[in-house]
Amino acid sequence: MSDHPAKALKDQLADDMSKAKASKPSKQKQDRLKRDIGKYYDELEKEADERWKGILRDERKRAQEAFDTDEHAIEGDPEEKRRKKIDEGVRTLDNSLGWIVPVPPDPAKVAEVIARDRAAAEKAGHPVGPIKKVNQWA
Amino acid sequence: MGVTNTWIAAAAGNWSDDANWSLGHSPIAGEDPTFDATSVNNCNANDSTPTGVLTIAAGYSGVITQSSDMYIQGFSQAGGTFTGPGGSSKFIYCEGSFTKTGGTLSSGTYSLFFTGENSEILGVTGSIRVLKVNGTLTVKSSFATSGETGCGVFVESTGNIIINSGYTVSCIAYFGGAFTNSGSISGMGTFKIILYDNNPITKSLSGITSNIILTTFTGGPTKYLSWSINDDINPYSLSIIVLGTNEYTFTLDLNGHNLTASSITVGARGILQCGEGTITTASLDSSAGTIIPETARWVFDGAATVNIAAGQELHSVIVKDRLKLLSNLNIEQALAHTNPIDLNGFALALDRPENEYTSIRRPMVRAIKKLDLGPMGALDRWMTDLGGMV
Repeated sequence: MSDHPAKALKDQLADDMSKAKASKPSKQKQDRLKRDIGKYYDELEKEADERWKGILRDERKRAQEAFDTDEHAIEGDPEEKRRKKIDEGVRTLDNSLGWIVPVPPDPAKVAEVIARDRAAAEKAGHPVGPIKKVNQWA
Repeated sequence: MGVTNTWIAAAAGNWSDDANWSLGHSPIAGEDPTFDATSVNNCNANDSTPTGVLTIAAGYSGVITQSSDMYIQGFSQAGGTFTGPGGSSKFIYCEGSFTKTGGTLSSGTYSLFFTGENSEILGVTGSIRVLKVNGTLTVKSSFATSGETGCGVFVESTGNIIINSGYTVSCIAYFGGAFTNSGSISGMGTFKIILYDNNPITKSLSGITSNIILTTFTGGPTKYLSWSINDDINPYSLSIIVLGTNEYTFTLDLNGHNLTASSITVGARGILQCGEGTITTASLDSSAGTIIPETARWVFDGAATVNIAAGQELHSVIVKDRLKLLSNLNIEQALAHTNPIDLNGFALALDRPENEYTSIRRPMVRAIKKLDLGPMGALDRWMTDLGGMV
């Protein structure tokens, strides 16, 4: 994941957001950060599989909400809530990269898990391999 | 416990894709879909096939995004991120426990429907869009439900929510967010209803025996709020707490119905419109709020205390055992008591002093009607005189 250009963009954004977390930025600065988040998601959507574009649009909205004022707080320290929202925003940026950039699993580990799970399933009399599924609730 | 079916996707993928799972098929009933360090790739949960316990282990660092209804035996999250489908009407139907010990549950994105007879919710904070219950759910964490249209808390006729002590379920009932309780909400925890700019509400609060707090957002309401009940209520305690600093108030209108609560607190800019029923409590504190007495009968039970703001009064008062004043107490119509009232340095006054009913040698106000019946018989007689029942 480290070589992907979107990662550099994301790291820069995460850095800017962590500064915004330390001290509340001006409205202008917040708007700029929201725009930068938008640019990051533009990059991701360019590359994204068609299946993930709707998810990325939701995540873009959620990341940008890190800078929306919460006028309807139930209780608690507003400053702490603001910081928490920025943390959530940064996490969302991280998560979104995962729709574009795969993290290849260790084949040996995958083989080991398949063998383990299938052995346990067979022992329990459970099907293994492709099956036709019936959803009683559907 | 079902058998484990582990997420092994080589890249972000769909839950429904058989190749992404260790058993060679996407999870079915009797299988626990498991996300761990084997593959940390993102998952689009797009399959509504019923499964066992959705397990997200600490080693998983990806995101699971729900895009269809999910039917699961339970939910256990120690890592990764779970994100619901946001504004859609899709649910997680959970038959067992919903537990979060780590990772991130994206606040305000998912809706839960508890269908089991022995479900629990633990470690969940933030906001759930919709909480529905038609089985029995024990709450062991504090969370809110979203205030958007269609969101809120909905307890069906077969549903029970037990809120454990120290935990709060906050139902944000503005912008269409609501709650309906056709079952029960019990326990020693708190059910909090938060209003903001609502129009007058007439709605039942019956079936709630936990603590009830009627309150507002920290910024306070943006209009005068009122809630009329349409049947008797018996929460463990009842509080009306208006936040913010503007002039708006929050009125609870008992509307002729009875209220029984071990304690009643009416905070600043809170108003209790007492109606024409019977209010039974061991503690009334409206020192910062307002009491509109109407013709309600107050029954103070046990070792009771009363603390009301200056200039306010209660219509009629029956003291079943002990009453200690924490403020001056004015009574409009009648006072009945068996034991002396502990004035505690405060004044007790009746608009009609002849209406003090007591069997003690020296009445607190002025003796007109002394009865020689036993204490409980006397109370029954006085209550009959006052038009109610003990």
